[in-house]
Amino acid sequence: MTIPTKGWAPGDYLLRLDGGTPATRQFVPLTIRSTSFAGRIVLIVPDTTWQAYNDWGGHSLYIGPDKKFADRARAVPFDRPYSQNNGSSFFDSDTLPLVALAESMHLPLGYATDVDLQRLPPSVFFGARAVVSVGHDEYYSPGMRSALTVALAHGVNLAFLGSNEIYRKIRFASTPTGPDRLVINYKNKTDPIKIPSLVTTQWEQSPSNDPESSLTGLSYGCAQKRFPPLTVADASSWLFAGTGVHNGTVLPQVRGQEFDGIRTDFPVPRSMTILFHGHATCRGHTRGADSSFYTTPSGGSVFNVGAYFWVCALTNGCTVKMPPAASKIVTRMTMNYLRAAALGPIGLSRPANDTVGRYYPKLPKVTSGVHP
Amino acid sequence: MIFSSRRTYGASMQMKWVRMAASAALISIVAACGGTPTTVAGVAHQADLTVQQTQQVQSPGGAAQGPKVARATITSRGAAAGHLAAVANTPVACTTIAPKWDAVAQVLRPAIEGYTSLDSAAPGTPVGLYVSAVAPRYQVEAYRMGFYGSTDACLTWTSAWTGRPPAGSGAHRTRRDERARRVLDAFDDDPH
Repeated sequence: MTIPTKGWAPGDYLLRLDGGTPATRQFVPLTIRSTSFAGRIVLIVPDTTWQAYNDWGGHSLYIGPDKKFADRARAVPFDRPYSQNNGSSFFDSDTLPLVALAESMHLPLGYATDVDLQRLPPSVFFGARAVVSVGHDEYYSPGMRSALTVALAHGVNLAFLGSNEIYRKIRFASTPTGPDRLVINYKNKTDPIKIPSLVTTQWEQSPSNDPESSLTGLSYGCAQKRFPPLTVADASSWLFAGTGVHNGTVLPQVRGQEFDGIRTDFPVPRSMTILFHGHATCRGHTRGADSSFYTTPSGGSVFNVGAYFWVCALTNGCTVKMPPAASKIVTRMTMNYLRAAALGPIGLSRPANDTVGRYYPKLPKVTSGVHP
Repeated sequence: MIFSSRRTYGASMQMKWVRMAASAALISIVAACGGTPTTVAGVAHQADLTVQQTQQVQSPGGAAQGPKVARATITSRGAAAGHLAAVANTPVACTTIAPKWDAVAQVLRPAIEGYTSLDSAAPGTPVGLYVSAVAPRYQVEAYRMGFYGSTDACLTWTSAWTGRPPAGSGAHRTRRDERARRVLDAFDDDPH
């Protein structure tokens, strides 16, 4: 069947396949992307990560039919249904709450997917007000990351409303259905490709040695059974306006099972405001757990919440329940951000006050640029 | 779609399920991937020849219409029986033998599944929709998801039923519906 999309408003769609009874219904996600992103806040559906976790047919990039990591797929195609949530993957919990909130604010919005960052010319994002990675957005090709890096240099505001962002490196290949339909990721040096820059170990690992923090501001920590709280570090930031928080206010649960933080041995873009700060332990090492906002000389800015449950917290619809107050604070901060981003490069109007040194005194006192 | 460490990149297993005994027709519309049917190592155990034929096609990254994990478990059991049938003629004692095992196994399979030829498309770009369904007919509705006041969804588009609408669906076929249905059917083999 062919879906005629003529006249459809840009947006994120769910196709409902209906065999005639409630038991014979499943969903297929489809984004109708905006014809132009100029002047818009572009909401990115994190669908390369959806495919990474999609175990339809028995394999994902994490497990094989025996549920073991060793038997995982090293490449997963878009040519299959999503196994989770009746075919809708993580759209309902990890993407829709932000889309609905942004639409309720009547801001100029654009719609695109992870794969659009790869397949569209990077210049299409230069005129955007912001590009927002919505939810858990872990899997990035060099082309995807480059599109965001170049947009930032053009004064575009970026936001990462999740954690573990741009941690895994991928490359794309074609399937008979079309280009960029296959997501390749080995997670270690068994990747047979001979071109070092395309090897799909983690971005922070050899041979890339290019931690995601140089763009996102933060680095991935590790998975946690007891979620590190979000503890307010700088209540004076405009992002907290109207939330009523003070330094030390704790938001439980929102951080979720995967956290990000500053690593002093990895690049730290400046000037950076640390919004939330705490600690967690990874393999015996104490690590900072942070949320950050930094601005660049271009005026572009990067907001990284470093919290796995940020988007589902908007509707308090996460797999864990949180105090309604935490949900409200997350919602207000997100609205503060979207309103500011819609006006233009935040770095020009509200350059970040650098507070990194308060928590990481080992880092040099610089006011802008990326260290090292 | 399976790409394991033991398999060459780009090799895939395409499984087209053919119902042999069940009453419901299985509609399986899969991508035309080309390639020569061949045996892929390590998958024979998934075929329970008493209830279904499994067709394996090696193709570069093609569409997979195969069993989910639960289905694989079921067919593995069936395969064990198939192997043993060659060496033992006395079945294990059983009060109530499941007469239509494929129908029992079928409940573990989503009755309808699909994916699109593009994950995103500019408005007006025709998007291929590949569907595998147990139901003899199906209909597609497109919901735009976002802020609609008290709800999150806006019904944007409804396809015609691919066959006669089910009783009680409220769908009355008109001449216009019939024409739309024929147009949709014409696309079934070639979504582009």
